[in-house]
Amino acid sequence: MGVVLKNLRKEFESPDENRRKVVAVDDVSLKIKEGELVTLLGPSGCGKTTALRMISGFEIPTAGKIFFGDLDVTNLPPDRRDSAMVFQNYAIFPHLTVQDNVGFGLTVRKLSKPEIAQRVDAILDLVGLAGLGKRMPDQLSGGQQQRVALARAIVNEPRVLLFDEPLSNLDAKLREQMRSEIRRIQQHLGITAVYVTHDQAEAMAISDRVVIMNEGRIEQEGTPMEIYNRPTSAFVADFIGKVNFIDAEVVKCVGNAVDLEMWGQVITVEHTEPLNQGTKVQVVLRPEAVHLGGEPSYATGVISSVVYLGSMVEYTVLVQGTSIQAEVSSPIEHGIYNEGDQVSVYFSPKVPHLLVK
Amino acid sequence: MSTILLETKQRGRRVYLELQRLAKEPWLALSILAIFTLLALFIVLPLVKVFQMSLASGESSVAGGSVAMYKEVFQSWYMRKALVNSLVTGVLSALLAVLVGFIMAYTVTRVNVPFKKFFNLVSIVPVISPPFVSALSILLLFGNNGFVTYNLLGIRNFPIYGLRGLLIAQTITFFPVAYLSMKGVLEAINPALEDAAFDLGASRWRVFGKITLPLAAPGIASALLVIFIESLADFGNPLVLAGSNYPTLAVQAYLEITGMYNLAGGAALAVILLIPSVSAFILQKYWVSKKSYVTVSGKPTRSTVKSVSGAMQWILFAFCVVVSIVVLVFYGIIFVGAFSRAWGFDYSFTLRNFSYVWDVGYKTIVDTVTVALVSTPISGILGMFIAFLVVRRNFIGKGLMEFTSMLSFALPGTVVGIGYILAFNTKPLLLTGTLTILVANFVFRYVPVGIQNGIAALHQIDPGIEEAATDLGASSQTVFRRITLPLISPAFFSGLVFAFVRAMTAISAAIFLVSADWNLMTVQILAQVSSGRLGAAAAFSLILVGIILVAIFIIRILVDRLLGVKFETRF
Repeated sequence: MGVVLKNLRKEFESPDENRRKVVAVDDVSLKIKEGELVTLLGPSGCGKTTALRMISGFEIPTAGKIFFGDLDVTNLPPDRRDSAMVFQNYAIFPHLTVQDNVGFGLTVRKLSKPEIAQRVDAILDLVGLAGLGKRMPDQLSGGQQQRVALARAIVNEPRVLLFDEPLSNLDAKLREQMRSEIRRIQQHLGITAVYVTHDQAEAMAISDRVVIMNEGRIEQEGTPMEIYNRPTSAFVADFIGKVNFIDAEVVKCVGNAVDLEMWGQVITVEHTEPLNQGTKVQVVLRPEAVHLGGEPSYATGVISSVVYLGSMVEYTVLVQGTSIQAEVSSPIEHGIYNEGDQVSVYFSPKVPHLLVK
Repeated sequence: MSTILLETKQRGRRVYLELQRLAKEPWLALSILAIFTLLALFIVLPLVKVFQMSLASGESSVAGGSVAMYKEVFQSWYMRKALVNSLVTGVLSALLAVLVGFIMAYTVTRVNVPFKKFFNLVSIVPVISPPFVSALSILLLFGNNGFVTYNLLGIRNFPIYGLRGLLIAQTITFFPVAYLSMKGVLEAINPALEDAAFDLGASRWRVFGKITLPLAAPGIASALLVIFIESLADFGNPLVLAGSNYPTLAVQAYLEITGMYNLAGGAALAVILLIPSVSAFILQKYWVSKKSYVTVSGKPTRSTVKSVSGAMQWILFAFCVVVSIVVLVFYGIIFVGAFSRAWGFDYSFTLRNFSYVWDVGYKTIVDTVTVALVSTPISGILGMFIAFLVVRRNFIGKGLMEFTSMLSFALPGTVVGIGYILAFNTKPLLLTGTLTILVANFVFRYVPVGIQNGIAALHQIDPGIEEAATDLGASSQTVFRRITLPLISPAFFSGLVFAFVRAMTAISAAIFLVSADWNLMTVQILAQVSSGRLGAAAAFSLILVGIILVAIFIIRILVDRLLGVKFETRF
């Protein structure tokens, strides 16, 4: 079952005395296809959680509509919606055992005891908690609690699964493990899912499609690859990964080849849309695409800082008075520069992305 | 102009949406409506009736629009004295009780002394006994035939009646209230703040004066106001101890009605009593509580720094020991009194008092327990449910519901009692003399404590837990019963205990509402004290406390069973 958000808007009254209106979600429209996992990604306060809470029914939109399939659920309370949510801090019932937690939704639906037991066991098996049904939540590790929260959400076989920053309380290693686990289970069940996070790596790893939000609005939506390589705004480019912005001006544009005036010379890069001569652009260049100390070369720079991270080295290079971030992987293979070294700077014509100013 | 129009339109739409949502949960909408009806009936209506009656003209006792009664009251020097006495007693009791409570709480939370558990226990004893037991103890110790005054010192007619005796009785009755709230406040102050001040080179006195005391100040102010309210409302202690030379408002209002049959005069006194009470309540609720620096979350961490010097440590310890001994003597003397033949003259052991109480009071005991058993679960569940609605649900009139239900805490029992007999003495609300009126009185008078406990407990529970249950398809009532109530079961338990204890021990409102059919033990005890049968009163009190202790034990077991909470694996 697909989910459609249509011109969704949510205003809150600010809690201070003057009771200003704060717009948390501003004219958000989105179509989520059946079986798709879509991530709402953005900095805190961007409206992603409010959007999710409107989908789950915990907030009523000020304006706009929400559809599950063809059904308008905009004003339906959460307990009448065919959606289930995995909460940020798990929200596990601390006074119930694992199996009572997982079986809660089934008990509410008044299923027979044997059926509940059977379905709970099957789900516990699926999430890797077989045999732990009799435990109390406080006897579980963080990762196991996360699995209980997931199991409890999917045992009801909801048509829409919602995730509210489900992994933010786990340590880095466990987070990576759980996100592939979530992805595996979501695909196994073929459930439509909306996933809220502020962690861009998590969003990239898990999603079919990523929706970047900022100040209540959608900045861009697309596959992880589109978002990373073809950001449509400086905000998106900056929010996803590290980035260099280099000012340039279009000298000539023929077919897919654009000649740019930058770093005091003309550099040819690839671009799909025609651009007029004289257009001011920002060249979006990812640090890992910057090559140092090789041939050919566009410019010469001076290394101004070196940060060694084991798997790679992060350099700051001063080129014509501006700082450029560069990442060189596998330092043992490529050698390490020192501060003050002069290096050549180059990037492949395929990699830069141009934003018209 | 158009923006105003637009805003009104939007607000209208929001109200409409909220109503639409409530309509989808008819059970919730109905219970909200029912609670409002009950609050209007049992809290607002009696209050209105008291106001109306106080405006009656002359002695006719017909409600009207005249201030004659107030004029009469203020012209009488005796009534003016009652007002001054009540206020003076309230202020002094509050100061004394908070001083004792604060010192004990500070010692228990901040100083390394032995017997902390014992001090804690001693401070709770007065909470579960009838409020005027300390007055009875004072008579047994310092009265005409008092053990200390007559037997030890050989003084007859020691002047214990009046402000002095009353202050001792009220301090012992109310310091536990201050102790418990001060203990909560001090435990919630992060000791790291005090450690930081020590670390910056501050002396102990400076840390106490500049850090601990200012942080606790809102809590202290709140405790002062609460005890001021309770002292104003106190009825049993002044009736027994104040004597006719020291009139107080609550007692005069009662005497005016039961002695002089002057309903209008009693009502006017009740209104006068109401003004300082409600003012203190509003001050406490809307000003002091907003100033609090203390956050309720987080477990108390223990500081390693000694907050007081070695000498001070033992001074504080000695203070706690003295307070504990006083409390124990006060309650021990009741025990002795219950088993003594003739107080002051013959201390030989007897069970005569008990057989007397059994003969005259058996039915009263059954009545009292029945009233308590009926009102306890209603009060307990209602308190938790209102707390749940107020903290977790959004509906029109939420603030009004919270205010009204909490208001009854600020209403002196005398006012409520007079209001009840005025409001419920005609059809269709003819309730006087019935079980219902007693139960309604206890439920609505003492539900605020349950609500407050419930609200505090709910604020500590992640709303996500209940949202998760809703998300899984549970309706509001299922969420409340299966998730909320078990999670706040400690607050639920204490709410039930409080409801039971108060139903067994309260007197100020109940004394207006008892009848031949339904009588209460506290009223009987007071009658025994008034007629000088102190031994019988002591025996009665002992039985009362015994019933309460057994009940607390049973309530504990029932709460655990019914809610399926495993307290061994408490979260």
